[in-house]
Amino acid sequence: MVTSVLNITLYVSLIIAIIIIYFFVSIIRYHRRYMRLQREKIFAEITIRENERKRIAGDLHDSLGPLLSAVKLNIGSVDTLAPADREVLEKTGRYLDEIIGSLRRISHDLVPGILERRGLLEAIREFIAQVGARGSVNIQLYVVKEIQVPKEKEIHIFRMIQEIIHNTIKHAHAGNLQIGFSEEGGHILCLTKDDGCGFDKEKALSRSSGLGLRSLESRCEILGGILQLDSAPGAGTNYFIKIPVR
Amino acid sequence: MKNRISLVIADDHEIFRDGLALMLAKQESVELVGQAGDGHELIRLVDESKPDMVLTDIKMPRLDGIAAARVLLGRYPGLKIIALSMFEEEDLIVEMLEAGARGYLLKNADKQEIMEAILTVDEGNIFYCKHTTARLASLIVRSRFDAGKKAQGHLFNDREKEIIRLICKQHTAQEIGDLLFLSKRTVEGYRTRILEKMDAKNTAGVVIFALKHSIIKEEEIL
Repeated sequence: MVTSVLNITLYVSLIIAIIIIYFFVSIIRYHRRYMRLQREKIFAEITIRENERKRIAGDLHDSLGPLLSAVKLNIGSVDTLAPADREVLEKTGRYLDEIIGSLRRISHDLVPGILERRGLLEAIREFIAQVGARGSVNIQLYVVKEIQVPKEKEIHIFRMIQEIIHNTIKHAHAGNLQIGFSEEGGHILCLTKDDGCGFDKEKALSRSSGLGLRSLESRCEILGGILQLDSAPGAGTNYFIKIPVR
Repeated sequence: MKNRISLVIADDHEIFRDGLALMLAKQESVELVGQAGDGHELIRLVDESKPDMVLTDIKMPRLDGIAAARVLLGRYPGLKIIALSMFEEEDLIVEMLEAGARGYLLKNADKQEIMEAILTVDEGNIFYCKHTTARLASLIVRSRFDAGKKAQGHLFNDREKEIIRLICKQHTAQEIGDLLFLSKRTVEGYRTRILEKMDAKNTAGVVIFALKHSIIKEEEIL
């Protein structure tokens, strides 16, 4: 009698234990699945955005650009002796120049064409030359060892470097920013170092201004790499990025 | 009277070609003898009509301007080629010059500049588009492209070199005059003489010459 009650209790507690374990396992699995889906969603979003950008930049550059140039040539070939008319034509030509200039900027900001043609390092060099000319930060690029980056990864690494440079210019009040690239054991290594004011990582992430930082992390995750950030108020900011080449 | 310069143009955008053809048709000094839509067509047209000069786009389907220029100059070393470029193609412009083009124009160049380019290159000189950026200038100087300039850096005295440096930094004649306590007129006179000595047509030519002969350093203008 007593043993049967004991047996039943044992069975019931066993069943309860199994249910609880199953419950926990499900939660953990669900959570993992949720995280994976979340990651895939971010990955898809970023990929779609990059493709869109590329398409729009291509349209601007390859279709609208030549069209505007053609319009400018057409206007230029109108001969008129009336000074008022000539002035109108000249003015229109200048407007067209302005439109073409804006087109150039927009297209270039969307995707720098040089990235596609010459690869990551040249694109970064060009970007540094552009922002360096405007900004007060002295940016140096060191390539310790030539890196071979797969085409589909280049845009992400480029955006990460862009973000880091932007952050340095906008927030760090730094005088110097050093960016180093190397390749080691099938990994691309990138180290950046500035002598700016530094920041508290946790605080930055909790604010909306941490958005850039989070996108850095997402992109790094997409590439299956790791991102390490060392910064503290008054101590400058260092990033270390390690990405498998594969 | 000198013969008209015979020209073939190549671009994959028909509308742009039409615009260019329309403009060139009104010029007395040139004669348009053919229009091509890609590099292969361009080579065929040049083989047929043996023009003096080619104005070609760089990015074209099937065969691009760079490859076409290499083939053409292999067959006709005396052929003069001017590259037409959309914005944002500085690296391609450099490749085009390395392939043997004698000048380049951005596609938003106006009639005057296009004609200036054609006449300059026809005379055997190099033409750099006036929209040349400092970055492009430094890329050109570092490239394998050799303009074969006769003049040398030491042909300029200190005052001239100072003015060259200021021109490279995009200062106007008025600003240079204010900085050096000279009249605007005097500065313009200097500028004209400098351009003549360098065989340059515009500021872009001055910048490239100055970089090449170390009158100015890259860091100063970038």
